[in-house]
Parts: sequence; C-alpha cells; structure tokens
Amino acid sequence: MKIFKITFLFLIIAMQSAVGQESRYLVYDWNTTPAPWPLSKEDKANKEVSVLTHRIVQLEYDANDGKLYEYYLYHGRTYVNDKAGIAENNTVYISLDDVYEVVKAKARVILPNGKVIVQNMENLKKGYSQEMEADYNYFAFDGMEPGSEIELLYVVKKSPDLYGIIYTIQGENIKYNESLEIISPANLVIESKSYNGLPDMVTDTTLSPLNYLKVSIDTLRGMQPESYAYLDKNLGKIAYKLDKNTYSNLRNVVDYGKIARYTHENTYPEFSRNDLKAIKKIYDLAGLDEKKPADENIRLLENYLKKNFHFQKNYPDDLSNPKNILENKAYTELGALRIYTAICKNIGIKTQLVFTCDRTKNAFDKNFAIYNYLEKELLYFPEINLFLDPISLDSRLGLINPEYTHTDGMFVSSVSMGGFVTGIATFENIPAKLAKDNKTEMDIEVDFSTGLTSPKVHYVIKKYGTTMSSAQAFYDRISPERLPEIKKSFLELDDNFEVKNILVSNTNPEDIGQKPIVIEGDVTSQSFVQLAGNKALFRIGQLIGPQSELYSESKKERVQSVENLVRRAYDRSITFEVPEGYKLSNPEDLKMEIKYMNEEGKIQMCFISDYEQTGKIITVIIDEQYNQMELPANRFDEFSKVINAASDFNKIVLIFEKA
Amino acid sequence: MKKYITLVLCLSIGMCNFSFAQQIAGQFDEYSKKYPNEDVVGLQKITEVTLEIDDNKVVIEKNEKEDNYFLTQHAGNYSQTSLEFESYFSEITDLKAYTLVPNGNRFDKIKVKEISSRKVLSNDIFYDGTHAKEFTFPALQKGAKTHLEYSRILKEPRFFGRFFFSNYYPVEHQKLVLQVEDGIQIDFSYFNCSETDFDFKTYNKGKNTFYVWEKHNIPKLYFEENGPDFLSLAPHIICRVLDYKTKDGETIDVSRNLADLYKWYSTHIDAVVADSLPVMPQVVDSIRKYSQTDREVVRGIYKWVQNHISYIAIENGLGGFVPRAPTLVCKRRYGDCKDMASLLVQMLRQAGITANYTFIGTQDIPYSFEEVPMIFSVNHMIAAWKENGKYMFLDPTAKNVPFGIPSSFVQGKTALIYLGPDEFETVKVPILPASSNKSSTVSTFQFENGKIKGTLNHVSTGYFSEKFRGRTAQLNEANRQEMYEAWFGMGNKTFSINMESVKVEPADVSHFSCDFELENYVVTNGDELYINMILKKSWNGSIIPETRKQSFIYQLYYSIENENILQIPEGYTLTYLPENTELSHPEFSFSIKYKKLPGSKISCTYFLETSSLELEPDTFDEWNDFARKLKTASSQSLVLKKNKKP
Repeated sequence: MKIFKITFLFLIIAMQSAVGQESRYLVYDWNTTPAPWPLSKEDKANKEVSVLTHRIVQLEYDANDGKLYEYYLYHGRTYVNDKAGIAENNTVYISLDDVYEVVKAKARVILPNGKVIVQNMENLKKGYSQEMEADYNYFAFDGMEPGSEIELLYVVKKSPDLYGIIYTIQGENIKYNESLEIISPANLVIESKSYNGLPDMVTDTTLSPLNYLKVSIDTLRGMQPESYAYLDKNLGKIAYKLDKNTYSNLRNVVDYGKIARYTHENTYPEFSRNDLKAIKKIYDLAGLDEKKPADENIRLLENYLKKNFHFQKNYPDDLSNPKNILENKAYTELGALRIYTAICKNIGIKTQLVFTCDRTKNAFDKNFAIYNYLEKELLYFPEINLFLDPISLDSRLGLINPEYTHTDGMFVSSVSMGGFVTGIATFENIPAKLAKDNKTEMDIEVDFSTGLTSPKVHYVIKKYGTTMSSAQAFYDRISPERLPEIKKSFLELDDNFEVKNILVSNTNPEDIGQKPIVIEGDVTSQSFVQLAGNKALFRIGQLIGPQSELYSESKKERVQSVENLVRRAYDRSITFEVPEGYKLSNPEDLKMEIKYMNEEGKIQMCFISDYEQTGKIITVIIDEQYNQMELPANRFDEFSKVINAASDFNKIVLIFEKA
Repeated sequence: MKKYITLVLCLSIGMCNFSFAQQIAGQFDEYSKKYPNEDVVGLQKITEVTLEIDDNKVVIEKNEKEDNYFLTQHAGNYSQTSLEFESYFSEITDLKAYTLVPNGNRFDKIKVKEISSRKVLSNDIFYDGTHAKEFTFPALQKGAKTHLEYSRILKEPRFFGRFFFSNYYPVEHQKLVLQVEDGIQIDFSYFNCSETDFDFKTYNKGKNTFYVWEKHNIPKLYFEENGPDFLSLAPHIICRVLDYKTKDGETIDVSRNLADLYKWYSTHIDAVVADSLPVMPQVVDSIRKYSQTDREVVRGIYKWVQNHISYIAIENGLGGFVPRAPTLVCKRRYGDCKDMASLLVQMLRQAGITANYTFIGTQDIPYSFEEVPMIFSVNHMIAAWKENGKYMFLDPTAKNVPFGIPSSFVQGKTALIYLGPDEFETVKVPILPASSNKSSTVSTFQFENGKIKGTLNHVSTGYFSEKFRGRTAQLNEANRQEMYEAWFGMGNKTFSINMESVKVEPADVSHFSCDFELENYVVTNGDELYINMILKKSWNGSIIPETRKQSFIYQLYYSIENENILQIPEGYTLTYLPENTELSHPEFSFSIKYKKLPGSKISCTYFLETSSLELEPDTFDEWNDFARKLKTASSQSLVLKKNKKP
C-alpha cells in the first residue's frame, strides 16, 4: 500500500539523543577470535547451516539535521559443508534500497582448521539490479573451502520504515542463534508482534531511557514446504512498527482508523474542473448509461479501462489525477480507485474501499495495524455484494484473484459526520467463491467403432471461474504459432494422447467470471487400449488426465494445516459402448467413494465415481469436490485420501473379455 | 484580399487536419489488422555506421534510429527502456528519445526528460563492465509512437560488427548503411539469410565506400520449445575489419583470419605463462606422489580444481580476456573459466605435465572459426591435455562432469589450442557416444499381498553421472527420500523407498541401489494378473506436432537401459507375453525384449538410444512413427493366471 504514504512530519523534531550512550550498532561486534561452530553430524549432512543471525534496528535522531534515521545491523554466520554450499554462499549482496550510507561492512572466512581469512572490503562493488529495482553492494568471499564458515557484519544508515516491517526469521532448514534487537529514542515507542510460534520480543531496561526490545532463539527448527499449504505465511516471523511518540503525545501512530480516514480523503477528493471533465470523458468512452443496472455499468467501465488503460507503477508524472490518467491512458492504484469511485458516485452506485494482503504470504491481522496487511486495494459494491480488483487484468467484477479472498480485509465506507464525509474502517471477510463457481465439467465420449485399439475420444470441457481466468485474459496475446500447443494443454492430458482437432471458445477478457471457457476436441491414443490374448485392457482412467497425488507426503508427519487456494468441483462423465463381441468383466472397479461430511451433513470433500449401464452403453459419473478452504494438520490424511482417489482413478484399467 | 487568403488558409488547414485525423485512425487500424497479436510494431530501424582512420586507429561510430508503433494498452509495459553497453570498449552518446501521443488530429511530441546512466548487475555474470542508459518513454499508450536515436562509439575494431535483421516484434522497414573510409578492408558474411534477401547496393563516394542493406516486412522471431536459439534463427550480417592502412602506409591486421584472432588472444596468455608462480605446491606434490601414471596426476589435479575453486564469472574490460594469475585464483578459491583453466594448466605444469589453454565457443554459438574468426566465436576457456596423441578436454567449471569427458556444452565444437605465442592447433571436441552416456537400471521384484516389492540397482555414466552428482549434492535430510523417490520412481507415485537399504555412490560412474515397494500397479481381474513390465517409461516419446517448423535440439547423445525381472508368484502361470519390438534409425532406436529366465522369472529389457544433437524437420515423420511405436510397445502388459486347484 505504497499509494497512501503519509509523512510523519512530527518526527522531524531536533532532539537531544540519549546522553552518554554509545549506539548498540557501534558497540556490537563479532568475536575477535572465532572458533569453528560445533555442529552435529546431522547438521553437517546439509550443504549449509545458518549458525548465527543477529539483527539490530536502532532508530536515532541525527544531531546535525535533527532527522530520524534507522541504523540496521546485520551479522550472519553460515557453515558451508561442500561445494554446493560454497556455490550458493560465495557471493554476497547488500541492498542499498533507501540506504544513505554503509556505515561499516566486514566479512571473514573461518576455515575448518580455525584459520581466519579476513576479507578485503575494498573489493566491494556496486551495481543496480534491474530486477529488484535497487542498488546493491556486492562481493565474493575469498578463500572458501568445504567445511568453512562465512561471516558477514554490516551496518547501513537508511530512512526509517515505521509503518510496519516483517522479518521472516524461520527458514526451511534448522537455524541457530537467531536474534533481533530494536532500539528507539525515549519518545518513540515501538510495538512488535510475533507470529507462528516465535517468542514475543521483551523489553529490556539496560539502555534506559532508550526503548529496547529484544528476542533471541537458540534453536529454530526448519519448516519444509508442503503441498496445499503456504509456507511463506506459516513461517515464524516478527513484525514491528512505531506505536507512540510520547513527546507529541501521539498514540497509535499506525492505526487502521486513521488510515481509513486518509485513504478516504485521498480517494474521494474535491476534483478540479479539468479532472471532472476527464472523468466524464471516460464515462462516455466506456459507454455507460445511468439507466443500465449497476453491475452492467461497472462491467462496462472495468472492461473499458482494462482494455485501454495501463497500470503503471513507476512513472515520472502523477498518474493518480484523472486528467493525467486520460492523457497518458495509464494509472496508479490510487488513480484507478479514483476513476472507479468517481464514476460510480456519478451514477449512484455505492462503493467501499477494501484493503487486504496476499493470504498466501501473510495472514491479515486486524489487531496489529501495519501497512504490510494493506498492500492490495479492492473495491466493494455493497448493493450488489461484489468485489472488483481495479488493477489485475485476469480478474473481473465478482471474480477477484483467490489469494485476496478467504481473508479479512479493512473495508472503508463513507459516513457523514457533521456536514463532512469521512471514511470509517470495519473488518470483514472477503469470501472465497463456492466450489460450484470454480467447477470443471468434463464430458468424454469414447467411440470404439474406429477400432478397438485406436478409439476416438471426444471431449467437451467447461471450466468455470478462476482456473482459466488468466487464459481468458491473455488468450488474444498468444501468437498463432503457439496456439495449437496452448489449446492442447487445456485438455490436461498426458503425452500418450494426440489431439486431432480442438476448438476453444469464450476466450475474451470480458468472459472472465461470466462464461466458462469451453474446450471441445477429439483425441486418439496408441497406448490406452491393449490387446492381451483374448482380452483387451482399456485404460479408462487415463482419460481424466494425470491427477495430483500426495502419496509420498502422506508418509510424512504433516506440520502445516491444509489450505486450498480455491474451493472447486469436477463433474466428469465418460460414456462408451462395450465393443462388439466383448463383455466388460470388471465394471465394479469403477466404483469408488471417499467422502467427508461436516456436522450439518454437507460434503466437505469427496471423490465419488459410479457407473450406469444401459444395454451395452456404460456411463461413468465422477463427482469430485473440495468445499473446505482449510483443514487442521491432523485431517491431512483425509484430505490426501480424496486427492489420491482421483489419482487412483487415473490408474483404473477396464477389461473387455471376448463374449 | 488579405482576409480571403487567411480564410483559404484556415479552410485548407482545417481540411488537412481532418484528413490527417483520419489518417492517424486509418494507420492505426491498418496496423492493428496487419498485426492482430502484436503489442508493438517497428516502423523503421536505421543503422548508419562510419569506419574511419583517425590517429592510426580505426574509429567506428554507429548511429541508430528507431521508430516503433504501439497497438495495444500493453504499450505501457514497454515504457522503461535500457540501452546496455560495455563501458570499457564502447560508449553511448547523443541519446534522444520521445513519444508521439495521438491527440485527435495530431500527434503530440513528449520528450524523455531524464536519462540515467549506471552500472547494472547481470544475471549470469557476477561482475562485468555492463552499464546502461535508462529512461522511460512518457505517456506510452495505445496508438502512440516512440522515436529513439543514439550514437555508439566502438573503441575496439575487433569487436565490430554484428547486425541483426530480426527482432522480438515485426519491423516494417530496416536499413543498414556502412560508410567505410578507403584504406580499411572489410568483409561480410550472412547468417540465416543471404544477400538476395536484401535490397543491397554498394557505391563509392569521395574517399568512402558505401554498403547498403535494406529489408521490408520483417516478421518477428518465433521460438519453439527446445528449438534453436536467437543466434541460430535471427537473420544477421557479420561485418569484420580485415586490415587497414595507417597514414604512414603501414598495414595493420585486425580480423583477417584465425591467425589474427589467435594472435590477439594469445598475447593475453603469453603474459600469464611468463610470470606464473608455483601454486599449492603441497597439493601438487602429494597428488604426484600418490599417482602411478600421468593420467592419475591429471585426474587428481583436475578434481582438486573442480572441488576447490568455485565458478564466478568476472568479465570486466580486458579482464574478460586475460586470465588472472593462478596464485590469486587459488587464494580467492574462485574464478571464471579462464582463471580456472589457467590454474589447472599451471598446477599440471608444476607436476611436470603439459596441458594447454584452449579457447572454444559453446554449443549455442553457431559459428565456426573459418566463417567467423572473431571474438563472436569464442565464449569459453578450458584446458586440453594430450594423452597418447589424443586430446582430452578438461573443463573445471563443470563441477560434476566425470574426468576424461568434455563438458556437455562444448561437444562437437572446434577447440583452439594454445601451443605458444605464434603456434596453435584446432581440434574438434568429440561428442560423447550414447554408449558412454548411459543410465542403466536393473530391478528385480515380486508381487505379494497386492504390492510389488523389489530391489533396484542403478548405474549412470557420462552426463547422467554428472547430473546425478549435481542433484545429490543439493539434498538435505528433509528432502532426501522424496527426491530419491522422484528420480528413481517406477510404476506410479506410490513408489516408496526403504531408506535403510539405500546405497549411494556419486562418482565418475555413479551407483545407486535400494529396496522399494509399489502399490496399485498390478491389475487384477478374477484369477488373472496384468503386469506392465515397463515400470519406468524413462522417456515418453513426445509426438512432434505437425505445426512444428524448427529443428529439435538434443545437445547430447544418450542411452537408457532398464531391465525388470519379475518373479512369477507361486500358483500362477504365464498365459500371455507381449511381443518383442524394436525399431532402429540412424539417429534413434529402441527395443523392448522379453525373456523367460530359469526359476520362474521373466525379464523385460527396455533399451532406448538417441545419437543426434539436433533432430531436423525432415526426420519428424520418422520420429513420430518411432514415438508411436514406442508408446504402443511400452503400454503392453503380460498376463498371469492362477492355476486351477487340482
């Protein structure tokens, strides 16, 4: 949520820094005579182990200019076991984003025999990373050997970020000696919060009158990535922010209520005449009409803007003002919000601003206000109960990207108070779509009249909702040469199938959330029917394509709870006529049922397959559903049974026997 | 009278404007129709190059002019522009850029305000001299045009000149003009195109010769998966300065032939050879001491460099061509290819073995030294050691490649071997035959209680072994089992390894063995069992679609042999065994063979081999036939039937 940056002018008050105390980041140092860190045999089996990470964040007023700066100290020590570990740790990059000065930087290699190679920091190079959009200082460690440790300590002076910082402390592998200290001037009170099982930071009075928070963890076990779980979200982390400035008696510096007011003021300003003209022009260009229903108008506007305007993050001109937006055909997030809300206001559609974060990275916390939880802006239309993402091209009214659903958000609505209008914050859930909204319907007909071992298979697949929204958004950008390959991939079949002809429809961006993408085609395969003596093996399961499976993970102890990106359902039917002269000997193998119900008797998740026979015609019906967004880790076993059932169906072989 | 004139003028301007507005809209529609899938089309690209002799040097200045037209709202994605240059050898000057924004009946010109120039980080190279001029085209939107022009001064004539007539978007018109002062000899060659593809003319004017190439309607480059890359597809012209005459009448050779190229490269080596100090004497001595033969010494020292020096690419100015002193490389424990090659050569020399610096271009460079005796043909350095009259190529940057074989990406390329200041040799690097780049697995198993239980023994050689070693090194305690199961998995994903039984030996020839179990694989129906004996379909024979136009790049020859041996369960009889199948083509072959073994065992051997670096489109039909046969054959099952109780 960079769009509503507020300058805390009150911070720039020249103030006496605490008397007589040397700053922590200057006092702190590494061990002058380091010994190799004792590690267990298990640890040494990994290519690298982090044996120490110490971070100090110290906020200080500068005696000369009176401004507040952050001094950030990083001290890390890593054991590298082998050449793979060396290759990954040989080079070091220090971000200079928002950095005024590198106060100090030193590094050394500790060899297994205890010998220390101090690095020559004159080798420090500087360059700009176009990918990260920041400058970096970087160097390569001299003299690393398998079994050595590398150690790095640096301090940078940078502009303070007080609206919220999240340090992810936990990693995939075990870490030793993780610690964090935050020191601030007497008047600035920092508040921190620990997540996912990390201990809270505690107040230490030894630096009094300075505020001093610290935490240290001797051993922090690693958390490995697991399927159907979001590791980034679940790792142990610590967030902090500025909470109070006691000199100016300012409390709750970062507060959702305040943010709601600022953002409201910013989004619904008094526009200039030129701006109002630009807004009217966009209204006309988009073909809006007050007489049309609200959702139709919003769709017209959204389709027009997303087709003709461009979201621009970094730009020299102010693209939040409607006049500039129209001239440049480009907007920032704030600009987009202003256009939508202003036009909606003109035609009497109520809007609420919604702020949330990507739930696969962080869990929105309404009790700890920081900007990190407000990184994504959405619009909510209370009268039609639909959400809109003004920026993302693969979403449309009513179908926003799922990482921003099934999470809480801050809703900002307008209220009139004594003649002027302001924004107030409430916290509500942004619901995930139902399984039926993300459904895949698949009708498969197998025709053996072309030959028992070379049947023709006809597919009609309809995919609703999120699954194919990016395909609908960008289908017209696919080059004609690449198109056949892309279309084939929509069938999601394995390599054994050859596509004969394929037709894809509802491929316009306007169809997102409105019409399912429809894939219709014929395929053949040389390998899914085999003759064995007087029998024929029909690998019917392969027709539903390879399925995800959790066999190897279900052997391990599950750590994280199960979290789905979306609720979803698959309705499949396979129809075939038993070939002339044969009978089907094992139709019962088609019957499968794995089903879990909630207390109200509704299906939480299931994989059910059954068949009907009418004469020689067999119809297989498969019902697969995932209605539950989350499940506790102890129910992973049940979840994987359903997932694996689909994969087991994929292995079903029917046997035709000569009648 | 005056009034009347003004009126006429107004009218005509008005009409002009009206028709111009229509023109703007008309042009936009025309291009949108012509290029329906494109965000951008190049209207024109003009490159004018002058080659002059100044102060007894060749001075090369290149002027570029480029106009692009943006057809969709995605235009904004292209607004950030970055022009890169290697600061040591070139610079960019006189940069001008603006956007033309459609505004009803006219285009408004908006100039680029700020241009920054900075050192940029490269993704592949740790440190180099790449700088970039960066700027943002303002108001870039649907219907807008951009104009860009700049000059590039090239300080080293050896790096001149490569001109691409192709881009990632279509270009309506492109023109290249070379203006060459008398006394400078140039030559040019065509790649992925020929002179007849251009309107070409040459003429003399004053003391210059002009060469002009022009082309219209240039389609955008299209890449296919596993297909040739940019250099092998993009039409381009390479112009090189052969020699030039100075004011004093002296002829200076530049890039006439390979000898000239060699001379330039070798001067950088000569200096390193001249002042190399001994490095790691204890290591060299101890390897020497414990080795019986020269081969063992070479192996020992090669492995030491592979294991102890990590590869970090550093290409700053001439540093991109001059190896650093072996003592420095050794102290740092890192270096780029030439640093590592140089250290290897030096350590071998200390051990009394002569190895040679070797310049080479990797497989992605499509030129031969004869065609292009220029730096464009070289991007790598390795070492060569002659054993019994035959060169062995040693690449210390390939950390896991087995001793004795070249790194995979130089196979089939010509090596330029340094023999001394004026003496060199060119030798073709052999392609590792499929039989030496092999993955073999023998699995023996039985079927009991609904499960397959067995033991597998895997051996890999060549680049299979290299890959295995590389992957093994990345494992940790948490993912080891999962990864082994993914690499060696057979049948289906229920494949599970008993970790206590695992034996792993990553080496030049790598070994792996384990006990395993597999569920839900055997199909049972009444008293019959159906078992597909190709448990691992190592390669699934992709059918090449009819629409494919470009060749399919393999990069290496390889072979796979998997033998699966089934113990027939007690009380069962084999009632159906699939037929043996084989297909052999000069570039690819497979066989699936079944055999009854004593002790109620059945063996099935699956063998696959390809001996082609690149599959040409005219073999696609044969390939598809091969792939279909392989699929059919590998999907067959044998049938076992329960014996009737007497």
